[in-house]
Amino acid sequence: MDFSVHQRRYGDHTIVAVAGDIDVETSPRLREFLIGLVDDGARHLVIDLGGVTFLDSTGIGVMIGVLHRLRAANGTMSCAGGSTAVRSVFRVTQLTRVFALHDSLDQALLPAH
Amino acid sequence: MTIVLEMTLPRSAESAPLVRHALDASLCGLGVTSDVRADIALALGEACANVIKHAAAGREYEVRARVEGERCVVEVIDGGAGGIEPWDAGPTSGRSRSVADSAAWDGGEAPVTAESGRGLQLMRAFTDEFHVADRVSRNGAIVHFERMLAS
Repeated sequence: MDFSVHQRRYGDHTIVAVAGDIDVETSPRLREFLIGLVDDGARHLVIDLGGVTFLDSTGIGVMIGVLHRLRAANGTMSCAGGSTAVRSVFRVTQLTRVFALHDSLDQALLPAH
Repeated sequence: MTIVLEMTLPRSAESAPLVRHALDASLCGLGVTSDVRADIALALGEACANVIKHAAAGREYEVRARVEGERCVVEVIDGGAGGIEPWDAGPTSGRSRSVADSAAWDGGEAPVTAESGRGLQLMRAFTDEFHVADRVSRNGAIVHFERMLAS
């Protein structure tokens, strides 16, 4: 599947739907997109991983880098969905200690979050 | 049945998905489950990403993958141009040293909030055997990993 990234607003949240492979080739595009959102004032990002077919350490690095920027601006970031393979990358790298990985987008957008 | 896939690739970011998808399609054709294919794709992707980001010598690198019985064996070879040693020469043809010493990799376990350094961690977690050997004479390295095809 071709890589794509789209955003939409949901209250205070900005939902970023990513599809395709997040790897050494596409990570720079994801980084540029997410940093652009933060620069434009987005503060609460929810990354929808439902369409992600591959995630490697370069993609993880992009998310951590954006998280650092957001935290410096009192923002938040969480992720939602994702295949078994994508979720196992989160588990092995212990990313779930850094930001939340919700089972679904609906759960990520619950008022409590 | 033994399947061998050999690809010589430009050291550019576009090469990583190309070789990942080529191997994945071959393994799919052999009936390997999606869980195991995902592990192999990740390990291969990390090895390719490392070559693309760090390798000093050579404009090309080589990926050799073979399926032998119940295991998939993959080598990602960078450095130097011209002839490549045959499979059997493998990693033992270079000076073996621990992965953590290798300057090309970021080494060790990364702090959980670091932006890089997770490649090795992922390769170890998703393979059954993994090592890196230097190719001193060619200023490069061979990343070797194996994954059992039955999860």
